[in-house]
Amino acid sequence: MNDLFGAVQKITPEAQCIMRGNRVKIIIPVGSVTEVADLVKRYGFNHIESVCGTDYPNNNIIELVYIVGSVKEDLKSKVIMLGSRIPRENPVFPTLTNIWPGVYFHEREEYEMLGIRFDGHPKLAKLLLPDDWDDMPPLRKEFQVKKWGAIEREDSGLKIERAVLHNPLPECTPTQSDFKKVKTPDFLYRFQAALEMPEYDTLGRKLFKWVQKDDRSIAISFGIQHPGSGHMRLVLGVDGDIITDVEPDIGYVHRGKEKMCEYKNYFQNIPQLERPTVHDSSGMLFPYVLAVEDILDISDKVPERAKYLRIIMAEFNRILNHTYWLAIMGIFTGHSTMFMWAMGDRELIIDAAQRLSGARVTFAYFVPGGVRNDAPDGWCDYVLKVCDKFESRLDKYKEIYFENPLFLDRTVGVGVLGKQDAIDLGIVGPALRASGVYSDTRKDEPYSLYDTIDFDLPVMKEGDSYARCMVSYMEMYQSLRIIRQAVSKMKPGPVRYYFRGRIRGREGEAYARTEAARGSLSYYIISDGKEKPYRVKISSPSFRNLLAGVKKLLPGHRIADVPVIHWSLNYWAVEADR
Amino acid sequence: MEVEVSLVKPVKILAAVKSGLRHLFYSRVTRRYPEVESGLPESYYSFDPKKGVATAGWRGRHYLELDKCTGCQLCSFMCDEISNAIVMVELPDIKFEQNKKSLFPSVDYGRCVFCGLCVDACPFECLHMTPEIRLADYDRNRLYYSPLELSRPPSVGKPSYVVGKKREVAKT
Repeated sequence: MNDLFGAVQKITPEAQCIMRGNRVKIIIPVGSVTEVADLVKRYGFNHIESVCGTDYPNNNIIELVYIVGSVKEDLKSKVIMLGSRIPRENPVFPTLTNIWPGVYFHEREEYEMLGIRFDGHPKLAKLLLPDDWDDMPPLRKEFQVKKWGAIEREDSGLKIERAVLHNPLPECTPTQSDFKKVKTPDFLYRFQAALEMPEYDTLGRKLFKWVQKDDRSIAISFGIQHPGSGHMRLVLGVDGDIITDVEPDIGYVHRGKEKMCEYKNYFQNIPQLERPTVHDSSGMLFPYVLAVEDILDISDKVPERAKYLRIIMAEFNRILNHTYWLAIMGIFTGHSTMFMWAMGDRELIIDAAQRLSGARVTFAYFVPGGVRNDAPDGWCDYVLKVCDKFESRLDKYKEIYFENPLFLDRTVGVGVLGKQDAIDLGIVGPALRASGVYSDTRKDEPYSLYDTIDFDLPVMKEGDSYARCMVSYMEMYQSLRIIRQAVSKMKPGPVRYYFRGRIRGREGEAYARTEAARGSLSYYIISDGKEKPYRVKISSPSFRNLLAGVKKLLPGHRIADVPVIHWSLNYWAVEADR
Repeated sequence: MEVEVSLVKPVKILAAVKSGLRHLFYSRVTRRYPEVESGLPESYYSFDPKKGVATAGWRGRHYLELDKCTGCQLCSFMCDEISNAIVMVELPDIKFEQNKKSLFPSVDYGRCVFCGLCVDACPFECLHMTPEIRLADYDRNRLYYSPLELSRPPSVGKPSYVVGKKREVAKT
């Protein structure tokens, strides 16, 4: 890594380098960003993970960090953070979409959340915020979230006056009026007929704006109302029933998790952070607790038993997520039996997880310092029994679904994603492994004793929908294998490093990534030494996989293939919107 | 014109159908809830502040031990930014030596997310969570549990609310 920093210093002598373990942060002036990014990519960092902007009103700067990983064998465990500081009043940054195409949506998100303008970005428009948003960018520090109003309960004579009213400062720059108010996809403007269409029909009803009277093309909506995964929409331009253009319209379930995190302390964040992905709730919490342990400097104090319990819980959640996904896949391909079986067999795992944590869906089991409670008596034997039962059920799935010609016809050769495309676009998880890339955070950068466990990674070369389905299916076998080993390796002992009093982190930042069920999930936490985090950036696998789903895979396919391609990527709208 | 006839697909479809038909003779997967209970162990979720570890158990309705609670408000502070469900209320009729101001937590189950972090926050081991999970009600106000209601031992395994019977809301 030192040779890379030397080369960077040749370009800009002002470059600073901060190293902490496998994380290398290089801070450079804005002028040389494109040049340095090109160098970093040629060095081997080709897999974009996250783009995070942080507002510092006291220093009057915004720090923008590009977090880049790699799929190359020798660089897999390393993460490079390419940071630059820009003035707050007029934040302009050169776009890096031509170097890492995967930053397309990340940059759009930072644009609307912090008001940073990216020079040369193909389409700088809103992504997550509502169309009628008329306020300052929400991740600026002046923006205050609305709190509850005064609460009164007449029946009990109860009155709580802790309300803080929302009062935006008018002089803050930039205002949101700079934004493009329209989310209409560009390709629609090609159809001249649409622009000349009357707004109201003869009966005075308002016409749907995007229906075209062109002789060949029409635009239709896939979704809004729950197309299988949550509220999101794909605006499809179709010619006959062949898709020619796609524009995603997401953000219907955006809850502002990153802003909410800044108002809660490290423990209060736990229940709300697992909400975006309720069937992968522990997987969603895993990188958060790792990053917070780094911030609190207690990473080495976590007991061994707690680490194994975490592994078991995370793998439970992987199975829960994949069975849920498999059930909906059954519905999408017209196979109701698969839905019934997968949903029924989930209960086995849910019961086992519930005996451990006390909840059925949102377990809230991980805390910084370990896990919340030890396993009850006889739980380990119960888990081994559940694993055997579930494995016998998994074999049956193959007979009825994965070897079924009705399923093969729908998926084989549909939505092929090439290996190089998958890396360039920053695809993660089963979708990346189905395209022939041997990459998994559990293997690349083993965390939480995953290195003591022997398991294989299912990797396929085809890259089509069938390969993605098979990789997820084979992963469930590996999860069972991991659970069995972890149960046998657990020794009695403490399960939590407990600390009393007010919890304050060190001043600094932490970046942790784990392999959640849908792919690599990472948290970037910046602390200013107070009880609450200064900035939390969540980079979720669904958000990173969206680009492939819409831009690369869909054009050229028929409308009937959309559900299969969309769902084989395992896109979960709530996780992507956060 | 020659038509290629392949028997591979029909045979494989029949194999899938056969695998499904075999399940007609399997026992039922679904449970006749609520007539049949889940059969999971019925223990409380409670936290030992000395060891810093909780005991595994259901995270249902809270159980408050009035004679241990000191009114320190730590559970309420923890809940403030999570769901704002716990509110400290004053019960002037109830006097305990350790609780001079007679402040006790009350829980609004219309808001509670059952994370159990209030139990972890209690330094006196007086707040627990119980296996009583059927809290649905016809009236929103009845989801607000006063400290006196929380201090009743849970009716484990039985519906907590019988239709037609009104729960008395303690006046504070």
